[in-house]
Amino acid sequence: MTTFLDVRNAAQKLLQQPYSFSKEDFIKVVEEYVNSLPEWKRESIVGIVSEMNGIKITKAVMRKDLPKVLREDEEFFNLWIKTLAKG
Amino acid sequence: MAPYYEIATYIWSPYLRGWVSRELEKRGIMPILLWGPGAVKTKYIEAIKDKDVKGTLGVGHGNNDVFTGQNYEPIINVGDKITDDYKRQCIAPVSCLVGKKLMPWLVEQGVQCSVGEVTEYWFTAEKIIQNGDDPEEDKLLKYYMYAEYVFWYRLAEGFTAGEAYRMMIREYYRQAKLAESIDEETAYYVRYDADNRKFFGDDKFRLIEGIETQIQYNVITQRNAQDRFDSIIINGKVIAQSGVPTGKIYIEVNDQNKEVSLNNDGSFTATFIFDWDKNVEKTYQITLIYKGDLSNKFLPKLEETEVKIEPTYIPTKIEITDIKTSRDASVVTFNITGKLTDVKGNQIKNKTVEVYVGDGKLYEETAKTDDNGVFSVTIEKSYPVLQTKATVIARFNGDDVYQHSETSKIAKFPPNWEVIRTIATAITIVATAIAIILSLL
Repeated sequence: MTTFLDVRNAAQKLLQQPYSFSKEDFIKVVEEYVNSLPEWKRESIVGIVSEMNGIKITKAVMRKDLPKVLREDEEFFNLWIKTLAKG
Repeated sequence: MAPYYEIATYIWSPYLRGWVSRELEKRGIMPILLWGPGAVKTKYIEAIKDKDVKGTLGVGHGNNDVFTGQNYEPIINVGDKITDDYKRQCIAPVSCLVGKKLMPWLVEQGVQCSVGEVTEYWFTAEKIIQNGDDPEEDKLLKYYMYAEYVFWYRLAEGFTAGEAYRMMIREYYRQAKLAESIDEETAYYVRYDADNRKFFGDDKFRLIEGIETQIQYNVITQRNAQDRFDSIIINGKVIAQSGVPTGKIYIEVNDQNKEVSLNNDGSFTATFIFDWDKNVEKTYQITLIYKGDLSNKFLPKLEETEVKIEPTYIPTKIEITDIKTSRDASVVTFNITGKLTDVKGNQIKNKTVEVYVGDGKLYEETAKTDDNGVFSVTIEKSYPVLQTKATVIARFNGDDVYQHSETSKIAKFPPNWEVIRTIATAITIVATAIAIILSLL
């Protein structure tokens, strides 16, 4: 079972070894993590209360949509990975 | 400030209208709610003209320079004219990044105090709800709610902003711990938010006025190594600028807590006992919260401290009470008996002691003390013909409760008479032979 700790480790790996561990490798770990969550957690929301320099984008997503959002929203991807890698 | 126009605000704002407003009212603070379309700058400026407004809380998207309301409309911007209506206040919104520039800037302009996140404020939520009457409605968001609004509830109860902030941050970490078993991702964000939630300005700021109080206290610590527990006795007194404070004091030491009524002179005492497995240094976080007695105008007070208790080892005494020796040719047998006690004379049972017979190479035996602390060993060792004494050493190496101890004694034993007699006989024979030879010459 892929845990949130695995996702955090993958975030650190991506930042430290971007040539051997790609963004897509990271998103696959996120997919495995999301798929291992019970239904109510997959439907739950992860968000921030941020207004990025006038760009009015809602930064709140359902966890089951995280892989898709990470692929499509570069800004959210960068914020999330930075947050996960800090811990 | 409760904008209501997209997912984050749909999730958070109902609790501001419901649970947070109700809890503030219970504490005698009547909030002005700027809800949905009302969460805009013109309404905000109008609301804070009321001289009784001493704080701004709420949720809204933000960045380094701006805290926004409905539809991302800026409510407070770096560079705004900061009037006395702002300067009366403590401003502490839940918003990303405002702690980086906007909140410290407001304090520089004369705002009493502020709290803001220096990074993004992350949250998790189970669902969008309508009423927000009870944080328990959301299995994930509740951890953020219970932590964040400690700041405002404690301010409403009369604590200073600095005290309220410290209690809030502590609650964030406590909630993060609680969240671990439910959702490790939530626990991570709650801890992350706490790490990055910063206070600026006057930590003595209060929402309500009254008689200032102080907690004077002593902490007496003791380690009982024998029975493996630490005791912490906290005694003290709550004093005030005028009058004798009444009410209760809440005392927390690590994961234990007690609420104690103050005596007639404001004094109090509480004892905490902590069992332990290993005799190692332990740190105890102590929090004392005088809850105040606002009906008598006594303001609450928070004190925090930390004590460390070092490992303590019970001194021991090892004795050699008897040594019996016998010799068979070159082999000397030592029957050694001794006793292990602590410094008070209590027998120490079931401990391993080492016994050595010295001189040159050491001969060692180990033995366990019996129920009376007594040990006995037998050691056999060969000695030169004429040697008649040896050093016997008994040693207890100590353990995680008892200290090391050691003693020694000289053991006496006969020489090797058999060899001496043989040599004497030989000498006699040789002497006799020499005498005979000499007489014949």
